[in-house]
Amino acid sequence: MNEYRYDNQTVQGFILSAIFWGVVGIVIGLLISIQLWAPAANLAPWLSYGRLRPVHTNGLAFGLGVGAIFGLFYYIVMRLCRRPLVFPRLARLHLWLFNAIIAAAAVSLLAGKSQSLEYAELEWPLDVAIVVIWVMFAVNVFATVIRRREEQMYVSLWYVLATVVAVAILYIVNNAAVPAGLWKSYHAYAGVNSANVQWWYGHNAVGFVFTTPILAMFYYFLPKTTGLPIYSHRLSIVSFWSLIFAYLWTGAHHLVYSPLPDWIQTLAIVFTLFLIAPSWGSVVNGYYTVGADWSKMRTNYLTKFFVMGITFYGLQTVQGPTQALRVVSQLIHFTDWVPGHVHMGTMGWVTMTICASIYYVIPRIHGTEIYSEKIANVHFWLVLVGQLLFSITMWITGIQQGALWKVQNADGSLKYSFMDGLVKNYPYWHTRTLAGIVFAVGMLLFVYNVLKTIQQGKALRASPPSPAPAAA
Amino acid sequence: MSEIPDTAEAMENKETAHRLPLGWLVLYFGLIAWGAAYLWLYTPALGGWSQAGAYDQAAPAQPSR
Amino acid sequence: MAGEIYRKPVSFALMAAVTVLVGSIVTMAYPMFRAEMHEKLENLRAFTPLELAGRDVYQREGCVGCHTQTVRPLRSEVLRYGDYSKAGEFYFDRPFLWGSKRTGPDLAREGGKRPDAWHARHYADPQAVTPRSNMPRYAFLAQARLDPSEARTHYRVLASLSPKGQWTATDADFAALSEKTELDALIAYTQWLGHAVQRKQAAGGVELALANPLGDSPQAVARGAKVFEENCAVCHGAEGHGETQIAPNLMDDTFLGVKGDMPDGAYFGLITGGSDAKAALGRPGLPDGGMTAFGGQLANDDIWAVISWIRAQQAHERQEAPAREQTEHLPGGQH
Repeated sequence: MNEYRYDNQTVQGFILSAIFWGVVGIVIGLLISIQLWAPAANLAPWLSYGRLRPVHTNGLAFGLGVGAIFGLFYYIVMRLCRRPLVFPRLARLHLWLFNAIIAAAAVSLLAGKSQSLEYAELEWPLDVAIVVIWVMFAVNVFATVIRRREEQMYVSLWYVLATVVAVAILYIVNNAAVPAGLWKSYHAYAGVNSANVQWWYGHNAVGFVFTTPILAMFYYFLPKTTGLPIYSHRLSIVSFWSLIFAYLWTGAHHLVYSPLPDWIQTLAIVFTLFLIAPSWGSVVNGYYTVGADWSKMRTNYLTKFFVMGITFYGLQTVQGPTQALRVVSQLIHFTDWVPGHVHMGTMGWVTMTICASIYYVIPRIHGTEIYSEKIANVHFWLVLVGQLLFSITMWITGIQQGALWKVQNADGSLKYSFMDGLVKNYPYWHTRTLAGIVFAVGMLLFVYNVLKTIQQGKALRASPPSPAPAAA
Repeated sequence: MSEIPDTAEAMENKETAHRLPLGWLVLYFGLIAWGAAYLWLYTPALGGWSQAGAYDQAAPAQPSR
Repeated sequence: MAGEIYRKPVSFALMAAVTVLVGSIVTMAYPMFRAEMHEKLENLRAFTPLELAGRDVYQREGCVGCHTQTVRPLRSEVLRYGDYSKAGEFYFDRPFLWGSKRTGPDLAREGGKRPDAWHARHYADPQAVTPRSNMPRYAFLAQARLDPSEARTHYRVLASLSPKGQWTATDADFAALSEKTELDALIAYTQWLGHAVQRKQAAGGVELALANPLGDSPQAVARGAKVFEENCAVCHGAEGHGETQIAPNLMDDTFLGVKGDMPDGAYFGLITGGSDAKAALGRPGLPDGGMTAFGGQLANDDIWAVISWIRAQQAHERQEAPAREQTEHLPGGQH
């Protein structure tokens, strides 16, 4: 089928690395969810909630998320350019450095080396290393796209290129800091300005790690798995440019009712609401694509992953903008509602889409079929149930918290102390841990299925070839 | 099942194949119109609203004794 | 739309870069050049070396994951924490530590609310102070000595980023750190928080003539006992006998460090206004303060009920042990 030698080893290396860091991140997530209701589970200073939480978020966003993005982007770029990577050895070096950096990041965070900037906790030596590997990645992607053998760049490539460019800008600007030692630095920006730069970065880390790259995967793997072409090219175009234009205005919706100047907050709210339109452009495009033949939901086990993924993307991109509204923000901001929101995106949309893409890629690398569709189906239902239970539980307790904080007596004084509100979370936090376990079991089944598929593929290659094996 | 080849032409319907869905267009321009109104109303230099002003109006300095 | 751009990756990438830069410039880069992003309150002072070392600990332990440091301009927040946060309070914060989740309470107004000894006990074992709290223990901080040379490096780097004269520590200040622990530093930083803003609840005066509307009814005393247990016993002890260095004995005849009790109106003013009401009462108390202002946090009737309970308890103690030695407790009120 493929007339060129694609560097599948690097792709698979990134996928397996991503899976490994994903498991680490999920296990830590379970531990910190327990710490929230059992403080005795803070076993040692380096295993306390404050230090572990960034290991959880960085491990999953950068270990699982970005690891999968690197691997799957290389895969997609090679196919859509119909040529191997221009610098395969650079890609291999990139893989090793990536893992070294994530490992060092985890250790440094456990040691408390943190900038205290959400999703930008890593201290400056690691920031420098990350910029280096991002440049290596960008060089390979651009060189390969420039020297492609396919004239037209398909939608996925737009999202790939936008991701490469935007992340570079965001990361470098927000991580600008003044070193005060090898593992200590102070933000180049102070006070309100520091907050504004950080959330410009923070929200767009969501935009350009959890949105555009995942859309690149969605636009590529949905037609590949279903055999159905994307519904509307025009919708793809309008959605793409509107999305990447509007995203960068929205960071200050994290700072509603803060001392940040009102006009920046208001602009952020306006553009955040507008984002519903381009986000739903992709949702509509996805639905109409599968709508051409809904029987694919039955006949192709991966279709439901993508449809569910884009559904959660659709829900996420309505819920998120709603939260930016001042009247909603004042109730749910700072509460558990927000982790509920984030996890619908990460567990529902991002992980669902990444897993489905990996299910597609791994068998093709090895010229085989998936080890077990049945296990994949069980995996699907477990992560779906786990994620819904997680998010819904957090929404309920979040609204409750926000409301209890506000209730006033007839004489104008507050009705509930802070502790009154806190203890009411405990039953919901127990349920959240349970939801996390259900999700984790689903993910372990996924890992098992992937590893067995690889094993199956290797066994196939070891035995005498019947038809010609597809992959190098 | 034969797979779609990795070309932009095959992966996607032609640009002219479908119009933009009407409901989505309404959403798109509706949000722009809403945004313009909200921007006017909640930008201190334009509509006069301010966070601190809203607080002063809504809250007495002290709870009543 | 011209399809040409989708065949030219470099032009495409440039166009994408321009597209993402528009919003970035308007909302992130341009504001940097506006004065409103760099305000400084007149009362705001830079960290001392000890406070900065404490802030470093705060960052290292990831406190920002559970505690916010920004009070929103909403009535319920101002009641709970104090005046809402002002841009000019964060002039020295690199980075800002506003946080995004309140698993624990906001800390922007924590400074001066409670005495150092309370914090020491609470950091070491939060559940000993607030039984159902989920905060981890930080007892290990009391064992960790500060490193003066590291503290000096950190301090000098930050000082170099502000105009001259704002950071005033001397070599002697750094040398003194060798006697201090990370816990001392964290407490000092906690007390620094919010120092530049007037505590709002204290603005009202004290009316000595106010009478307790609940009197000494048994219902009021029972309710007061419950409110006291939930809010006051943490510092004043279950029986109101106080805790060394944390809170004074409420059962003796000393009030705010001076012999001689005061009327119910003084109690009410002190409980609602916190430490800042001391001036209005004309009594010194403990110099660095520490009484939380409960005005707005507790219903007025609950505050009066607590006073009913205290009065009943005082009468009870006078009956039980008329010759009781008061000197075993703290010498006088330390609010």
